[in-house]
Parts: sequence; C-alpha cells; structure tokens
Amino acid sequence: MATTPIEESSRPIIELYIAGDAPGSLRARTAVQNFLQQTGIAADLEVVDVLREPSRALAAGLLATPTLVIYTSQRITRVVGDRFEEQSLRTWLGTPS
Amino acid sequence: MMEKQATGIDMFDAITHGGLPQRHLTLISGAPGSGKTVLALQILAQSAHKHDERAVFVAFEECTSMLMDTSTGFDWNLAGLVDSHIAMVDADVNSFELASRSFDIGGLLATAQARAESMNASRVVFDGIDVLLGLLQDRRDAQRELYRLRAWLRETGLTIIITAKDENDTPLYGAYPGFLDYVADCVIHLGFRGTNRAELFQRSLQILKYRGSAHPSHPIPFVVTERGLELLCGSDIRFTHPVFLNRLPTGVKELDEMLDGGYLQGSSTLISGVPGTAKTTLASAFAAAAAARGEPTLLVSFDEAEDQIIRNVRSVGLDLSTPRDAGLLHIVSLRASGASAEQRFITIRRLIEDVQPRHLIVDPLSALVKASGEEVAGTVADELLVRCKQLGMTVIMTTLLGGAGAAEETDSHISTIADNWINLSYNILGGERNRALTVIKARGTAHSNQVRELILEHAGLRLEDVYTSGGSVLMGTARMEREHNERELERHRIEEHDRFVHELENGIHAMQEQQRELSRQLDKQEAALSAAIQSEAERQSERGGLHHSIRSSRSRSRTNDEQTSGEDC
Repeated sequence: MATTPIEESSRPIIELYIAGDAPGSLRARTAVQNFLQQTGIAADLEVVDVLREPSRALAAGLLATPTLVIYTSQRITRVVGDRFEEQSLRTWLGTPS
Repeated sequence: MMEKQATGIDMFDAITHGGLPQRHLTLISGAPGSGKTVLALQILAQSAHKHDERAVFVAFEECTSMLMDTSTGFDWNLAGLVDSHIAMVDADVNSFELASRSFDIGGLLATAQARAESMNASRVVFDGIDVLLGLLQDRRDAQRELYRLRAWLRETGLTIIITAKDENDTPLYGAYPGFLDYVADCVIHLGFRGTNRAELFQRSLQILKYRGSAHPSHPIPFVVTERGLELLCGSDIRFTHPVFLNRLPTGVKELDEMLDGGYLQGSSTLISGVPGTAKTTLASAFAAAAAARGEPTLLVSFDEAEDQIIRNVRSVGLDLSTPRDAGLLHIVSLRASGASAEQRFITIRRLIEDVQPRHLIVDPLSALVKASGEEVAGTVADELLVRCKQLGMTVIMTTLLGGAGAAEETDSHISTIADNWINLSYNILGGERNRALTVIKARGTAHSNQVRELILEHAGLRLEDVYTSGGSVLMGTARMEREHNERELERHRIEEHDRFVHELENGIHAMQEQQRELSRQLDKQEAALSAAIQSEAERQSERGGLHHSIRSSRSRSRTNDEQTSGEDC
C-alpha cells in the first residue's frame, strides 16, 4: 500500500476495506462499484476484507469498516461509511463533473 | 472462574485480589481529567516492567506523541517500553471523512488484532473509545458495536481495557444509562470532587462492578504523583499487625508512671491541645528518649522548621540535635497548606519507606484537616495508622484544638482510632495560665485518670500533682499557696500531736507519782494493819496465859470442890 500520493500519470487507486459480509460492507461495495460504472471514471478498485487480512487494516490505520482510502496524485482521502455522495467522491478523486 | 491479570500497581492488585479480569472487558470511566488515560498507561507500563506483559495502546483522544511527552513526568519510562512492550497506535477520527454514520468498528478491531499479534501482546487498551462510538448513528449502533467488541475479545483471547467519559457527559448513551457498565465485566470509576478548599480536589477510584470477584465498593482516595495513581487503600487489606507488650518511656518520668510504664510499642497516641500547651515538646521528649535507646524516629512537622523545633525544645532541656546528627532523628518540615491530605499521606508513606524509622511523630495531624477537611483527613489518618501498626511503629500525633479554653474535643474519628489520647490544656486561675495534662484514654493500660500539672523547666519536663479545691484544680501560684497552707497545717498537726503526747506523758507521770505515794501509804497501812494484828495477838496471848493460870487454879479448886461437894451440898 502506498502511503504517499501516487504518480502524476497513474489512475487513482481506491481501496475499500470491509469486514466480511456485514451488510454495511456489502452496501459500500455496491455503492462504489455503481459510482465507477455510472460515471465511467477510471480508477483501480481493490476490496480488502480485514477479517482475512488484519495486517492490511493495521497498515491503513483503520478505525472503522467500511472505509474507503482514495489515492490520487494530489492527496490521500480516508472515508468512513457505506453511502457516498457522488459529488464528494468526485472531489476526493480529483475528477469534478 | 474468572482469571485475573495483575496490573503491576501493587495497591490496586491488593484490593482486587489479583488485578483485572483476564480475557474480559474492563471499563475505566470518569469525567475529563479524572486520570483514566494515566491509569491505563500506568497499568501497561507497570505490568511490562514487573510481568513482562506486552500491550497495544490505541489513543482516540490525544495523539500518541503528545501522550509520550506528558508521560515523561511519570517514572515508568514509557519511552523505553515503546516498541519492545507497548505499541502506541494513533486513532485520529478527524483524519477520516465521515460519509455516513453507518459503520462498524471491525476495522479498528482488525488493526488492533494485527498489532497485538505482531508483538505477542496480551492486552489492548482503547483509550477514549466513546469518541469513535459517538460518531455512530444512534445508541443502538453503539450497543451493537460493544457486543462486537465482546465477541471479538472472546475470539482473540485478548484482555481489553476501554476508557470512556462518564455516560452523563456523553449524550450517546443518555437514553440507556449504564449500558457501557452493563457490557463491561469490570467497571472502574474515577471521580473527583472539590474539598473545602477551592483549589484542591479529592480524587477517588471506585470499583463499581467486578463480575465474579470480591472487591471493595467504597471510593478509594488517590493522588497523582510521579508514580501515577497512588491509592490510599488498605481498608480492605486484612487488618493484622504485630502486637507488642513492651512499653516505651515517654520521656517524662511521671507520665510513664501514669501510663503503667510508657506508650505501648506499636500504639498510636494522640496529643491534643490548644496552641502553646507543649504538644510538640511532649512529642519531642519521646523522640529524645527513643534516640537515647538507639531507636530512630521520623518527625514530620507542619508548623515549624527543623532548626526552630530543635531550638525551642532545647530551652526545656531536650537535645534533639545530637540524635539528628547521629541519624536517629529525621525531621521533615512540610508546609501546612498547598497540598491535599492524600498527597501528605503519600509523602509520609514514602518517608517511612526511605527512613525506616521505629517511631513516627506527626506534628500536628490537624494540618491534614486544614488541607482537606475532616472527613478526608480522618480517612488519611486512618490509613496512616494502619500502615504504621502493620510495621510495628509507635506513632505520636499532635492535634490542635480550636481557641483557647476549648474543651476536650477533637476530631472524633482520630481520637477513636488512636490507642491513647492525652489532652493538654490551660488552667486559668488567679491571673495565671498553667498547663494541665490528662490521660483521657489508654488502651490496654492501667492508667491514672488524674489531671496533672505539666511543668517545663530548663531541666526538662515533669508532672506535678494538682490540688482540687471546690471542684477545680489548683496550679501555679494557687497550687504553691495551697502547698504552703498544707505545710502549715501539717506543722500545726505535728505540734498538736506533740502537745497531746506531752500531756499524756505528764498525766502518766503524775499518776505514777500518785501511784507511788499511794503505794507507800498502802504499805504503811498494811504495816500498820500487821502491827495492829500482831500487837493484839501478843496482848491476847498474854491474857491467855493469865487466864490459864486462873483456870488451872480454878480447876484445881473445882476438884477440890467436887471432892468436897458432898461436904458442901
């Protein structure tokens, strides 16, 4: 996992940390996938189940699940929750509409 | 059977009979600033030092670098334990965007678990977990997450300590008061309240709940020192102590006589009195006597500086500088104000540890009352006496009574727990103040209950008998007058006696003279009597010879007559 903003040329990376198949985790996963599909934004999505990989949670300094960690060349944004406003996600991804 | 894990804080492990519940959930609750974080860090640090335990500390409220900074004030060397024994994890909720209030703490638990496994830790502390729970939608979510926490610790076998602000300070739990308490297996509440002096707080620790374990339920006062939380406990530790039968001279010969030989070793004596009644002097006399026997004494003074005490008691013939220089007397002067009674207790307890004296003098104990009020001071005095008793130490405490002329009333609690109680007072009569000493009680001692006059002289202290006159005791000049009168009376009595004896002797002599005279007269009479009888007898005897001759002649003539009767008749 990168701890600093990624290369200028790279696509944004979205890490979604979930805890197994908890309802909130499923909702968050669907919300992010739908957003990317609907907006056609090119980003790499990785889903991490902290129940299987606790060390990834530690590395990300996780406090809650679900959590999105969004890496762009500008910044890293960490978002807790299972519902995301489209406008906010666009801002965090640096891709305003 | 719930196993316990020692906290490494001796007093705490003593009152909980072993520490906190292992592989269970402990809640430390309290208002902001009550010492929750300090206690949690102290537990981790002490159990690391003493039991080589490893732990993860997750900080929600303060960043860990700040915690490390503030911890340098404590003597646990937290910095030296970080990484080897304690993992400090920042949990800054403000570094996260909150997209919705529906989440769970699964991420947190995974983080903690990974960290714990990486260092083989047995404990995890979530410090200020209410910060995270407060972000949830509602209290039902908070409950659900706490159940998740419990399920997780069962699964992982970790021991969990969470700290949280009081529920009434946290609107989240408002509708379900006691929910956090309900979920936890052990609840420790840290509280503090103001004392009678605005700047001082009394802090206390209370075990509200401990599933499956006996525990004290009352608040236990504590002080935050460089050791962290220092508890004043002891009340729940078995009250056993050595019992001594030997008596220690008080330094005043006449008082020893009143007390059947002196203070019992291991006993506590309260010396009460209004200012200037020689409480310090009487206590110092004991210290000097102890030093003479080679027994070290610790004198804690709240009123006077060391040199001042030494100078003052020198005027009544007590030498404290020699024992001080010989290491047999440690005088420690503390300011009466500026610290709470609990802090004073901790200070004295440390001094006892360091100096290891045989005897302790606290002069005056009432300084504690001044600092924190009677109730707290009573608790503190109680703890101090229990501590000293367990160590077999003999304790002398002085206590200042109110204004001059105050009756024999003092903190009722202190006078109850002390074994002996000596009251010093003034007796004002005929324009004089004289010191009076009364032994009000002396446990296990046949003691005199007489009021005595305490006299301070260059040669030392002594007690004088006092005279009672019309219900009041006489001292000073009045006593001397009375003594003079007594002497006159005695002289008079002796003279009377002599006179009476002389009279009797004279009478006897006169009678003996009379007796001799009578005796002479008696002799004379007896002699006269015998002489009279003698002469009469002689006379009779003479007359008897004549009669015989007459009769003989008569008899002869009668024969002749008979012979001649025929002739005559």
